[in-house]
Amino acid sequence: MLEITALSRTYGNVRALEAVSLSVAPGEFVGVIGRSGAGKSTLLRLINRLVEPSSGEISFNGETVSALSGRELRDWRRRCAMIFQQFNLIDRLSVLDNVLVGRVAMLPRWRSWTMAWPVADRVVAIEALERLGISEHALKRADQLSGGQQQRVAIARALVQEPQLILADEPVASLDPHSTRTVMDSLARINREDGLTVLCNLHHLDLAREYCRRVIGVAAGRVVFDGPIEALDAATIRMIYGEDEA
Amino acid sequence: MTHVSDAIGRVEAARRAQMRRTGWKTLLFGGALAVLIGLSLHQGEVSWTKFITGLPRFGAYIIRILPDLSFATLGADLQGWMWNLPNWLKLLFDTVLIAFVSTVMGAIIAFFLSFPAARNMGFGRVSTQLARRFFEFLRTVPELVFALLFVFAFGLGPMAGVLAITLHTAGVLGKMMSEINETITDRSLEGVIAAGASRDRVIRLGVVPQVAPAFVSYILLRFEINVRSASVIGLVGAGGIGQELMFVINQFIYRDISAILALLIVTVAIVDIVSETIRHRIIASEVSHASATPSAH
Repeated sequence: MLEITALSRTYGNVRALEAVSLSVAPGEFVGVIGRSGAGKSTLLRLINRLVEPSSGEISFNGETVSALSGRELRDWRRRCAMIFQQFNLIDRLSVLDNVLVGRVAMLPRWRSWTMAWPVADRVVAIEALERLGISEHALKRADQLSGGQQQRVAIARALVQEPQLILADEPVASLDPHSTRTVMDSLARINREDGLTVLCNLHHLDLAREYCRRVIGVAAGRVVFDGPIEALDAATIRMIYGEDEA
Repeated sequence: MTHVSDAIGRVEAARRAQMRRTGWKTLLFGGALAVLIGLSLHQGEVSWTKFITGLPRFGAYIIRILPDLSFATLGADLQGWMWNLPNWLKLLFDTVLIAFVSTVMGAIIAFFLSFPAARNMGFGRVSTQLARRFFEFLRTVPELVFALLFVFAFGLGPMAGVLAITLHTAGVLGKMMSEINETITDRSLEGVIAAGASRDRVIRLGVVPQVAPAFVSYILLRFEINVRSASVIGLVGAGGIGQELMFVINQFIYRDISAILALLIVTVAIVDIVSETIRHRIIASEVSHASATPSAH
């Protein structure tokens, strides 16, 4: 159970996120929708602690994660895996090594420095790649893959972190329609088969309609809607996306 | 599950094959490195016993040049130590000026030649090779040799120092700048070319904005190094504090040696702090551009 209470973040005098409270039950697939700059990214980054909250609290299964530091913070980051719009892979490393980056928090430091990954971890990584249908590219450099393939490498990296929560920040915004489908289907399957909680930022309402049972609408840093997708009516959509786009 | 274990076997086998291919190269490289280190230690007559027996003498020289400062009469002692302060400060100022002028001139030469020296600017192989070999020549000739030549031609004084450091700076910065030029993406250049820009305008509008922060950073670093160079180059009579330092060293005026060295350290520290501040300002302005849209993806 992820619980967020009165979470705010300001940049100078810009309020990116203001007094957001919500809770997510285990196994949910939640879509976060809103315009660019509404605060969706900030929300996900706050949960992973890539961004520090200005005020408010985040807790997971009763543990306050917004106050963690050092090793405990790094373990929390491992437990809530991030997936980014621009994939954020290391171009000059092989696909396999990129996936094994997801194991850093579990392995001793010298393993990372020498990149001498244990066989057991390599097996986990290859299994993840196979599951996403890209194991034949395992030894290629990450930048040789197409966008859709790179995003699936990023999902594999997230999977080998053995997370309890997946935070996907616009995972399909830079992909073509076909890759969009593969990536969203992968996320849905992981959610279904592994029971992982998924929080997914999406621009497009159509994708949210198709994949999420519950959506959270964010506008100007505030949660303006939180409920089942069927309850989204035209007035709410106008409120989330603004008059001009309704 | 069999297709999963197939995949594991396949990837692991490919990985082993890849490691076998690169393994002997790594081994060869490591072996060559070890041989080279051994050879240079031998040829350079690096010996631990010599190092350890020599250490006390090193300490003795330092103790000899240190001034007698006692806490009770600190003011008077400092005044005695720094007896020639106005003259030394003037010489230090000359030194910083030599470094400044030669950094600016060297950077200008390097800037304009760094574009033909980069392989991705479409200048053709001949001009690229010419520019690169020219930079190489400027780098390879030691500053002291340039300085000696210029002292011979133009006489004692700062001019020889300025010219020598300018040339060396142009060589070093030119190489760095041309390599920075080669890291930029062609995609953004296409945007300018497609609008019908000539090559110089592609460079000005497409390349320069991308490379400017790195250029400034390296120029500032070079300025710091040049302050040091400018004080050393005075040793051959090319002006600045180095000329005075050489004089007091040769005359065995021990306390003046430490006074000048102390002033030099302070000067270099000030230059470091100032250029660090400038560099941080530049980096900070870059970052603030990036975070101007904080809550966007």
